Amino acid sequence: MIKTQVLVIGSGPGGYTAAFRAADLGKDVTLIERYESLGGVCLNVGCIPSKSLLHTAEVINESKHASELGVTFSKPKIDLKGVKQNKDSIVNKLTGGIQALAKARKVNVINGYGKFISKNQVALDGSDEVIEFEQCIISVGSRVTKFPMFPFEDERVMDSTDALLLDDIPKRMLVVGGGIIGLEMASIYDALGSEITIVELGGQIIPAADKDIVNPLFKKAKKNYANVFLNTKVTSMSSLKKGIKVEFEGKDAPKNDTFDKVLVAVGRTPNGNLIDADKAGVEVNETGFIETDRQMKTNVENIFAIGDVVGQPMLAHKAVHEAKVAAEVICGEKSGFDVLTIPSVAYTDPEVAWTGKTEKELKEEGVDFNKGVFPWAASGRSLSIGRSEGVSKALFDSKSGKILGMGICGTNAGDLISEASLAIEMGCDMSDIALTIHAHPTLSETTAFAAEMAEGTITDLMPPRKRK
Amino acid sequence: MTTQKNVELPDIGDFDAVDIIEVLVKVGDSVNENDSIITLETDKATMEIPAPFAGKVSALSVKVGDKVAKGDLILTLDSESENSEDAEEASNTPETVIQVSNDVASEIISDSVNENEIPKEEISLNPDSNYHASPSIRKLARELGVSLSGINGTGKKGRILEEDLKSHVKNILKNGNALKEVEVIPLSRIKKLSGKHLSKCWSSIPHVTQFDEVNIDQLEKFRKHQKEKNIKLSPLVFIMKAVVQVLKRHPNFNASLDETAENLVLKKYFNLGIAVDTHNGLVVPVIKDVGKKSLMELSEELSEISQRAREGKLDANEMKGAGFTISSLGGIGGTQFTPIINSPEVAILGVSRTQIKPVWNGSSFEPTAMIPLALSYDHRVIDGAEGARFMAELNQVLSNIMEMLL
Repeated sequence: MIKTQVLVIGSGPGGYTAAFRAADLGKDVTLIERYESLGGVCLNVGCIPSKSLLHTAEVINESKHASELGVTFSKPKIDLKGVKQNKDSIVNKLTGGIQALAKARKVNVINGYGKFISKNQVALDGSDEVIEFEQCIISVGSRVTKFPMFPFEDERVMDSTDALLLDDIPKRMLVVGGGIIGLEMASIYDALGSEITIVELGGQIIPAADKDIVNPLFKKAKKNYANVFLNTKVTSMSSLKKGIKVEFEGKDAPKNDTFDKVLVAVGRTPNGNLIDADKAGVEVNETGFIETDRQMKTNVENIFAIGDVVGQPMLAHKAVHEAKVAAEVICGEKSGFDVLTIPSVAYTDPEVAWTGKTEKELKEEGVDFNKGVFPWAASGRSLSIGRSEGVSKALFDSKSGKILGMGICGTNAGDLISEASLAIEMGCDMSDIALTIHAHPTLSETTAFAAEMAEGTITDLMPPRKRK
Repeated sequence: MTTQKNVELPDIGDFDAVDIIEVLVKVGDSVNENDSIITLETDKATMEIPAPFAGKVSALSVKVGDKVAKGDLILTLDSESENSEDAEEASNTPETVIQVSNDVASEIISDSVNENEIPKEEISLNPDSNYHASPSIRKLARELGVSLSGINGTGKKGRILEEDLKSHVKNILKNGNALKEVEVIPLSRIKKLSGKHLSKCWSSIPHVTQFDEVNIDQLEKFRKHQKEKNIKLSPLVFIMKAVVQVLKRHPNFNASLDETAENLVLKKYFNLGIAVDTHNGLVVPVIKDVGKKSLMELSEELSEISQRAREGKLDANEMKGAGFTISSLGGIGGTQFTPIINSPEVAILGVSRTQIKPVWNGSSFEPTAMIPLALSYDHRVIDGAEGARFMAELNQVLSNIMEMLL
């Protein structure tokens, strides 16, 4: 029997953060991971490998457009093995780093699949080993949602994990789901040479974001991909020798079509019901989420939960902050998860990012708001890097001028959005952003310009209304 | 059949610019007859104006802050001439309840937790949209165990700063109410209004209060007699009658001091203000021409007007024009109190609870019904001797009720 003060189940960004923070605050910590390598989905089969491949895609695309800059490259030769190696070396560097950090902190890392047997004990599946803990942090994440109607047994039907393995470059590929993951994978395979079709059930790609913010990406996808079918349902999928036959139901889509490979990216399912949580008395809902209070406590006093398994949005950066709260509360600190915003980013080309309230949320809530929209076609920096399709939109409270939300589409939108998140947390006003000098020429200027558009003080464009 | 009808402000007394403080309906609302549509505020009280007929609001002509007078267009109603049931169904009747703020400040300062124990207390989290505190301030608030919702921020636009948090905590500790929960509720509108008036009266008038006790054995006998005949008369109507009798002999008491405080305005009529306790606060309806009315008439009018006062249905006109005020707490209890003069009047009579007391009749102590009276008067207008004289005469009339006939 292993005895530990704090047991963390799952070593994703949430799990390892919780373990490290608790260790730094003086606890004896054990971290269980079912896979060999630490880091969870994010590091192994999610954020990091996809970003590595997206960078590869970006280089390919840039080289294609270099002729416009007066530099012509010959058609790139894709060495799939090399692409994979690069991706794997980045992943290994990071997961190895986590391993080293765990060691430096004397966190006891155990390889195995942990399941509860009581409110103080977890057993390792397939062995007699039992770990007894005082407090536990469940950070078991989520898995790809697999609908039984899709023939996943055929390896030509992929989920995002399979797609990241990059076994081959299909000629014709269908992406089911126009959300962030589907679009990112589409960007990668498109750059590598696949002919992409995207099918989305809703009326818009990335349904959670505002339409005007997604639009530049949508236009580009329409132009570059074979098809983007909105309001379209996949009714069946069958394995044929020549490919995967997919039947559609939608106004613009054909009745059926056959693809060499299909990527299903229709969401993720929380792993709450894979750990025998009931044996510890922890309540798990039908979907598999574990409910917590804002100190990340479950209904069982000594058991905490964080990350994807506690609810949307399923984002690593949310998990990391929740992890710190859980670890700190366990260590007697009066911590709490009370952030005002969790930013969302699609690392597509162009990137889409938003934080705070979206315009449609504000409309639904009946909030009186003031909007400033700055098209990147008027940004010197954006034009200099050969791009003009971006847009920055800032939303402010009409009365107080306080920033309520921001949406950005364009190169590096995911990096630019942090300024708006900080502004929201600090309660900045429109003028605070407009009056802060942003270096010229940068893409970050577009945020200030959006604020100036709302204020009417912009000079790089005609202000939308009378200057105050 | 739908017809459009204009709703104009009815006669609310001789006001020509009354503030609208609330508009209770919006375009598209259905209202029933007598549903309140707007709330007006005069210097005396607030009143809700009812819809004269049922219908659907098709246009609103006023907004909060407007000043209106009799005959001004308030709104237009599409009225269903036959079928009024639809309107009834969709109506949302505004309730006239005192608003209690949701934003109740409650503070909990907790003992420092044992390091190895998981803190169980509620922590303060996430500010609501009404105020702002940056992440570091929110963290500090959690650590101090203070709810941010009770703190007035001194930063730009009410933002809560570190100093605000610290002084708030110091304040809690100093006042020793660290573990006591408090609740902040706003005063009712009537209390806010009368409060302003009362503090002005209290601070600007040099009050003197003259006390006395009156033997009302005779009065009580008479009342008992009438009661047997099923005629119920309260002592208050006798006091009103007696006061008028004495006011006639002391016109300075039935008067008001003009704004310059240099002239006394003597009133040639006898209108008495009667303070009435309602659940929203104090109101003072006025009974007019008390001298000309019989005890029975006064009794009826008094019960009718106090009833309406409690229902908040008094018209502003019914609360003005008094020359003297009586405040009776006799029904509740107490031996004496010092009433505050209702400026610009110059005197007020306070009545407390009748008690049976042993009174020396020259040879023995006799159980006697004694009613305590307190007369506050404006010393700028009335001298002490005059005040004492007024009280003595009032005592005389009340203890010998036949004198009321004089």
